[in-house]
Order: sequence, then C-alpha cells, then structure tokens
Amino acid sequence: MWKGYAGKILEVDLSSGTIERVDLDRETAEKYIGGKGFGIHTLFHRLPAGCDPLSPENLLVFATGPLTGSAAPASGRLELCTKSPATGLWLDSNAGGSLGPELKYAGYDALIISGAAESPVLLLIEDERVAIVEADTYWGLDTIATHKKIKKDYSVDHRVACIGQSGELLSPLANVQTEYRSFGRGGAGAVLGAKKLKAVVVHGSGGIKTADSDEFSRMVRESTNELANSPDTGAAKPEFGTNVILSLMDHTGIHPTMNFHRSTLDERPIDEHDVRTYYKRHRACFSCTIRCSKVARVEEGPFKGAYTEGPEYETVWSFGSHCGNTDVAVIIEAEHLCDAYGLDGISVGNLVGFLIDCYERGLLTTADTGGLELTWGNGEAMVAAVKLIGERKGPGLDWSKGVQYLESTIDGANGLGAQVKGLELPAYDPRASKGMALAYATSDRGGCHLRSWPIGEEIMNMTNPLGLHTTEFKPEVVKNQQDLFCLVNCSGLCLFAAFTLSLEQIAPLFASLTGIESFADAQQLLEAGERVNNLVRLFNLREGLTAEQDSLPARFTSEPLPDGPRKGATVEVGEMVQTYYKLRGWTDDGRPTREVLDRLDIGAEPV
Amino acid sequence: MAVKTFQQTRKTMFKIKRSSCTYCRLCMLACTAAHEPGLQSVKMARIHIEDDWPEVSGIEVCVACKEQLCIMTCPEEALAWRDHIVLDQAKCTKCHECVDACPYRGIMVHPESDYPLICDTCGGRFSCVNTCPTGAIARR
Repeated sequence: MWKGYAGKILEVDLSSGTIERVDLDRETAEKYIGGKGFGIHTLFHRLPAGCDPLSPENLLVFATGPLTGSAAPASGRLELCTKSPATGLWLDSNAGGSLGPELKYAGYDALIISGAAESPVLLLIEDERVAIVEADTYWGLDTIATHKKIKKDYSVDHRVACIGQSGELLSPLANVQTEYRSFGRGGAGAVLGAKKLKAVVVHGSGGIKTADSDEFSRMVRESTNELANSPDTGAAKPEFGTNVILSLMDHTGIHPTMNFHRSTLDERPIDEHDVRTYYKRHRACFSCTIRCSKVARVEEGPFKGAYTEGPEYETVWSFGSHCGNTDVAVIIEAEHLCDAYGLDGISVGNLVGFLIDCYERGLLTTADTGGLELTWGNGEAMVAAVKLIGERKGPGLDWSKGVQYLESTIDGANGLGAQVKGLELPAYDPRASKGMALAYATSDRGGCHLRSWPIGEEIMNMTNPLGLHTTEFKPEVVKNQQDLFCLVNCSGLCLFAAFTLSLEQIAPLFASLTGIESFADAQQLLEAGERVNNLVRLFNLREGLTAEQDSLPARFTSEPLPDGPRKGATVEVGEMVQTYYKLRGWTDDGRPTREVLDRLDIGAEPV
Repeated sequence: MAVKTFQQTRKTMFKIKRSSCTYCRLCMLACTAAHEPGLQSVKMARIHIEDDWPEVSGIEVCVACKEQLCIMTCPEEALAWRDHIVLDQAKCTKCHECVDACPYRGIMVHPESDYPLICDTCGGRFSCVNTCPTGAIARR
C-alpha cells in the first residue's frame, strides 16, 4: 500500500491510442524519488539515442514528487521532462499551479506520453477514465483562450496544461502553460505540438494517504512557520514577488544590460517598487504560503488593459534593461503575449535584446525586420517582434529558431549572443558573479539559473558570504546546490521553499508522508539528487554533449564589463569546470567514471 | 440548558474577504484533513475556492445564512441547524436538492459517498481559518 505516492504511472501512446496503467516500482521510487528522477529514469532507459526531439519517438514525462498534492508548504510542483528541441539535450521544466496535485488525486504519480496523433487531440484524464479526445476546435487558440474554453467545456476544477500557437508551429522557444503558469525553457511546447497534443486535462477525486499523520502535520506546521518567519519567504516575496532582487542585482552589478554589454542604464532602471505599483493581487500555487505570484494590470497609456500573472523578475529583466527599456507596461504586455502564444519569456526577451543589438550595429536593417525599428528601448517594436516570433510570421520564423541559430546566419553577429548549449541566458551577468558563470557552464539544460544559484552563497549568505569576484569554493557550491536543487525538483517542493528550509527540515516531511525510512536521512536524499544529476549527465553525453560545451561565450572572457560596480570584470570558467569535474568524480572530459556510477548504484555503463 | 437562537449561533461563522484570497487552497487541504484523518486532498473539503483567473477567486462555504434554503428544500428533512447545519445521513437520499438550493454554492458533494458536505466548523476548531495565510477567511 503506497503512502505519499499514488502508486500508479499512466502511459499513453498517441500513435496507437493505447492507454496503460503501470504499478510504480518501489525501488525506483526509493532511488529516484519522483519528478526529475522519474523523468530521467524513463528517458534514459527508453529514449533511443539521437532521436529527433520532434519525432513520435520522443517521450513526454509529466512527473509529480512524493510531496506533490500534500499539505507540505509550497509543494504543488510538477516536472515535465523530454528531449529538448532547442538544445538537443536533456530538458526538464518545473511548474507550479494546480496540475501536479490533480494528477496525484486522479491516482497517478506520472504520465508518460509517447507517439504522435494524426490530428489535434487533447488527453482527458478523469480518475480511471482516460481518453484521447479530438481537439480541432481548440487548435489555433492561444493558451489563455484554450484554458478558458476547456474550463467552460469541462469544469473550472479540471486542470489544464496546453500549448499556444508557438507550440503548434513547432517553435523551439515554445513552452507549455499550465493554469496560467509555465513549463519554461527548452521548447517543450514544440514537442507537444509535434505530437499534435493541444492539451492535457486532468480531474481527480481521490487523495494521498499519509504514513504518519501526526508527525507529518507537526513537520508541516514547523516548516510553514519557518517560511512565515523568514525575511525572504515571509515578507519580501509575498510583498514584491520574484522582483524583490531587482535593486540588489543592480547595486551589485550582476544585472545584465543591453544584451550583456553593460551593467548600468543611462536612465534609472526599473526596481521592485516600480513593478509593485502594477500589482493588483497576490496569487499562490497550490498549497503555498509564499504567494510570490502577482496579477499585474496596466491602467493607462498605450498598453492600457494589458495584464499578466507576473511580471516575474526574469521577464522584467529580459524585456527591461536587457532591451534598454524602462517601461513596465511594455514588459507586462510582452509577458502577456509570451504566455498567450506559449513562449518562453527568458529566451524570447534575450532574443529580442540580441536583435536590437544587431539592429543598432547595422547588422540588421528595416528590410530584415519587416519594417520594425529595433532600437534600444523601443517598446512598440519589441512588442511587435514578440508577435512575429509567436506567430512565426515574416522574419519571426527565422528569429524563433533562437539566438544560437541567428548568430550563425546574421552576418557579423557571431559571438554577440548570450547563450550556453543553445539555451539563452537568464538575468545574471556571468562576469559579475563567478559562481553564476560556472552554474551556466555546467547546467544540464543549457544556460539556466535554476540548476544552482550560487549568488545566494556569494552575497546573500549573511554569516559567511563568499563574494562575487573570487572563483574560490564556487565549484563546491555549484555541485552541492545542483544536487540539492535536483532533489527539490524530484520532490514536488518549490525551490523558493528550499532556499529557506534546511534539508534536515525537509527530510522528515518525506519520511512521515511516505513511510520510506531512507528518506529520513538528509544525506541519502542529497545522494539521490546526485544520482539523478549523474544519470542526466550520461543522457546528455549519449546525445553527443562534449566537455567543450561546458563553457561560456568567448565574449565574457575577452570583453570586460565597461561600467557599474563590477567594472573591468571578465570570467574564465575552464579551471572551475575542471575542479567541478573532479568534485563530481568525473574524468577530465566530464564523463562519470564507473566508480561514481557504482557508488551511486546507477546500474548503467559509463558513456 | 437554554437553546441558543439562530441569530446568536450564526455569529460563530465566517467573515470572508475575497480580495485577500491567493487561491492556495490550504483551507481545502485543512478541511479535508480535519474530516478524513490522514488523507492529503482537497476533494472532500466543505469549502471550495472557485478560480476566476485573473480576477479574484470565489470563496464558497456555508455562511450560515438566514434563509436556510437547504433545510427548507430537503424533502427528507435530513438537515437541521444545531450551531451549524447538521446532516442526518440515515434520512439523506443523496438527491442533492440542498446543493442546488444553496444560493452561496456552500454545499459540496463527497466524491465517494455522494453525501452532501456542509461546514461543521470542525467542532469549533475552524481548520480553514487557522490555516489561511492571508486572513481571507476569518471568524465573525
């Protein structure tokens, strides 16, 4: 009898229409926890090496963690794992909202989708009843209209994950929207689009059993109090959302400006107080006390009426100082469009900044941009560019192939892009933060800030900050954070909770909910995170990843930051990457050795 | 013991501030846990948060209204007021007329047993009020 877990995995093949319910394997649950762990365990063992991400062979794994759907604070997260159309490597996207808990209540820990339908379909899951339903009337709708229509056609309590036009058009920038939140980065939306899967709709009516109810309730109370008493999760994030770090990043020179060419703007940059004036109300994911999400609305000006759940820190950067823009209304409109088309706000914003950079250098002219004057801070042109990218119209078709592609096709643009392994970088300048440089270089899904976030240890650790300028201890911090964050992405918890709670506080939640004794040991949980990271590494190596790709664009070594508090800073990651490999027990070319694989009981041959 | 009048007892029910609701559904989790010990779910809750993104959510729960249409509508006289609405399961035929009659949509249905679910204040412990992180639901 499963506790914490639902105990079943749902497998749907869209080509043949077969639907199977498979028992969850206890050993897999203990070793891989859930979420990202279930995703890599499935993809590593079942995905043929070198398969085209947009072919029917590619798999989509929606996986919950043991804590998903429970009363543990900030535990409503769901992982979506697949092979990325943007990078050709591993992709896992994590989203909050409500779909994960609903999948558990419907009786499934994970949903594995294979094959491809011939015409648009949606997958309807209502407890035992699972059906592949024709979805012609939904195809072509944006994600917000799709959500509203599904909720009208089924019920408001049916939970949705869907794609917009960008996913249907197989854009590698496409994400999957769930309950107005995003499975971002890496183009998972295009994988759904290639499978002609418009939406996954779930309604459950059950629940999850608890192994030790009293102990679990006690630990939930303790962790909830801890979150409420923290200045971060109890005050700053509820008030300002993720934008709370805007000023900090500006004052420390980490905030990249104008396509990573500067770290300051001539005008006063947007700070968290500016963004807050647009907030209408707070929103929270399932079971979350932090409520970092906001609903913002523009009340006046050319973008009057624009609204979004957000804007998040990352999009405030990507459509803000990255594009030389200081108008919050433009950001809200751009983020709304990204959500509606089903686009990744970080990648698209980064891309628009890159296009502006090219235009300002004369590498692009109005003849190439469909008449758009892409100058720094031109809000109207930015919004128009997002529309072209979302609809893949005119120049937008080429643009939507991403920064890496454009670097090789726009004359003279080579080296101007800010991307790692084909994924556009987020809102931290790797020259300013040496830890972030290593985090980008070694992230398993390309340029990403959510595999590790060493800035926390560099400047926000009050007792012993490591500092931004040095490379000392950064490999240690990055490795440990990667294993911890990976575990969090396996568990169903939100990273924001894990920034405040210690692993020693999280472990008893696992153990008392599931009754699995090994989960009570924080070190064993961390080892599970390490196990998952190593298996992901094997997957990436099998897909052709080389150690040369564990690096940053050359401009971050050759072009010093010209201004701001970190003026003159450059970064060279080679040495840190080698130290990181050593700490992981990998070879000089970044391959996990047999010793490491045996120690972690991975049961796979070195690649 | 003196019998409390309806006007006295209804003061023990809720004060609702919809604009503060973040749609976290911790109240629904707490309500389910209070009535189904050891179960992590929102599906057996006697309070329901109706999402209307991007607008404010609706908080649907028994508000101890004066009209008491549920009691008046029930053809089996299975409902009564004793500090809160009480269901006599022996009399209930699961016709759900009370569910349809409630103008506040404050009556849910148990997904397994099919009986109507009406707020019983958790025996005065008010689990939803205790767990709400923003004070969107409070005691009157």
